[in-house]
Amino acid sequence: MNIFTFEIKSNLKSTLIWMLVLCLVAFLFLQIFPIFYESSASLIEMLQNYPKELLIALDFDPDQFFTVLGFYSFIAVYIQLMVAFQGIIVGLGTMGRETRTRTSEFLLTKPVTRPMVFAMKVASIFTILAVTNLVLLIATIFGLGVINEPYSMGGLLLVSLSTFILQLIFASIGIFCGATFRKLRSIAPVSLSVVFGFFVLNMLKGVFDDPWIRYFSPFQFFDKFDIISTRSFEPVFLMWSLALIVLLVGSSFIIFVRKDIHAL
Amino acid sequence: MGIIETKKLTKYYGKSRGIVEVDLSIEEGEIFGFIGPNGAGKSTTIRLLLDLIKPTQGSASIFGLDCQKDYRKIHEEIGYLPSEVFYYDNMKVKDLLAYSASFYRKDCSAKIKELAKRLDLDLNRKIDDLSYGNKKKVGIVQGLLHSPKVIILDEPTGGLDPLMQQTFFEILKEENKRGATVLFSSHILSEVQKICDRVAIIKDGKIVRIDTMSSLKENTYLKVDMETKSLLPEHFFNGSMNNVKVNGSEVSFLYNGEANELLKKLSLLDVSRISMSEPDLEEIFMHYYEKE
Repeated sequence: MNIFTFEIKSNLKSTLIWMLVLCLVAFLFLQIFPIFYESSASLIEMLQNYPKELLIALDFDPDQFFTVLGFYSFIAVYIQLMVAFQGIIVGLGTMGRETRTRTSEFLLTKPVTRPMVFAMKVASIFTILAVTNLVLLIATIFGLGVINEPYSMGGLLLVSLSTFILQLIFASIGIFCGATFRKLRSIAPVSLSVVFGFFVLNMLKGVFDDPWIRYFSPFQFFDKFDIISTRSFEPVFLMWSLALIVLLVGSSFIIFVRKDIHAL
Repeated sequence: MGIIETKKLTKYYGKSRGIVEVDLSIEEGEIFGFIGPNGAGKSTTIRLLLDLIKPTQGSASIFGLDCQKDYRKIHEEIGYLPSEVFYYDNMKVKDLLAYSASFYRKDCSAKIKELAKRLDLDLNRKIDDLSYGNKKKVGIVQGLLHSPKVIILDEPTGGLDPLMQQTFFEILKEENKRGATVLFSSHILSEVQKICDRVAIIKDGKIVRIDTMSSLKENTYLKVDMETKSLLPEHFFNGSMNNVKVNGSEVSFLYNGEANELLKKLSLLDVSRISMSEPDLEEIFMHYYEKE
């Protein structure tokens, strides 16, 4: 348990900041909705003159935008970008902590098995992210309550769950990098390039017509507007997401348990 | 059977050699020195013993347990001090030591305080702010706080001032008296000479000699420098004397053999001044390294 507690403690400050920022963004954005709603007719007219690719890139669907959940889905794109960052930073930071600080020798000469080290780290990562998502959900419900618009709780829960799964995918990428990299100077460059890489790929979806691209673009696994209207995930992409997480974490485990710890 | 045993232990990093068929047997309660220059394979051997790296061939055991399979049990009773110590960011010394202690099923707080006091280490400071030598002290406390049965030190003295080195050696000797076995790797021969009972000399990944400190020195040269009042008798020099230089009454030579025999011979002479010096480990060491 000590490694678990240690990792939670090490991540505590940054996690609280992440939570605060995420909750503020979700809450404050929702407060703008009534203003948009009032001027919806003229806005729709204006937006219809925009190029289609741009609207797709921004995840903007005029029909959905002016329902409160539709509006939430729109801002969820940016929330998802943020949670993706948090996911990979926590995953890479926690799993790669010893590589980055060169403390592998310290930790791995202690009476604890490598599978146990790995398990405790993964458990701490998932705990941190789950709590963050829970707090974010509560802030969102609160924000929706304040603007007093009717919405479907089921739809909100599904969109929130999809955000959590997306975050776990990025956390798993972080875990994989943390467990396999032989050297790790700092976390930011890896995290930034991975998340922005996938985010740009997502924005280009209007340009690429190939449906296969979706499988390699995590931001496209869950179409939020689709989730709200059908009240369900696309089964293929749900399975694919879970498979990716299992695959990344599983292979990280195998590598982590076997790898040589080289002197630096 | 020794407390630490390796059998044909071999490690290749890809194609480059780490160590080749190293056989070691270290007895319980001894202070065992492991000497060799940089890159000879000292750290590789130690890292294999600690299961930080996996052997290409051969096996290693500590307390009769396999270093790869039973590493968790072995680590309960092992203290390790690497040549370079690194710690987590933003931690106070006491927090780091408490985290380290939390892995062992015993109360280590008294020992931490005692060691910190002897090493003059402030537990309330942040590790990031410590000097290299002080970080090393944290490493020493961290390696010894659970009173391990086996202490493994990989070139441990770097960064410690001479006084601290002495305190450190005293602590090691006390730990040894308590019953701990010590494996001490170094390329600094004088420190091995100070503290070890037996030494293994490693060269290019292979053990070239394992012997007790005393016998390593016994079978080597004695440097004799003297002045005699009378001329040396005929047949004074024999096969065990080399490098003979006679300059009037001044004579110098290197003697290789029993010291007693030499003294008997010398007692027959009329000597006005004599100095005999024992070559230090350095010269023995160079002897092994210059052979080829």
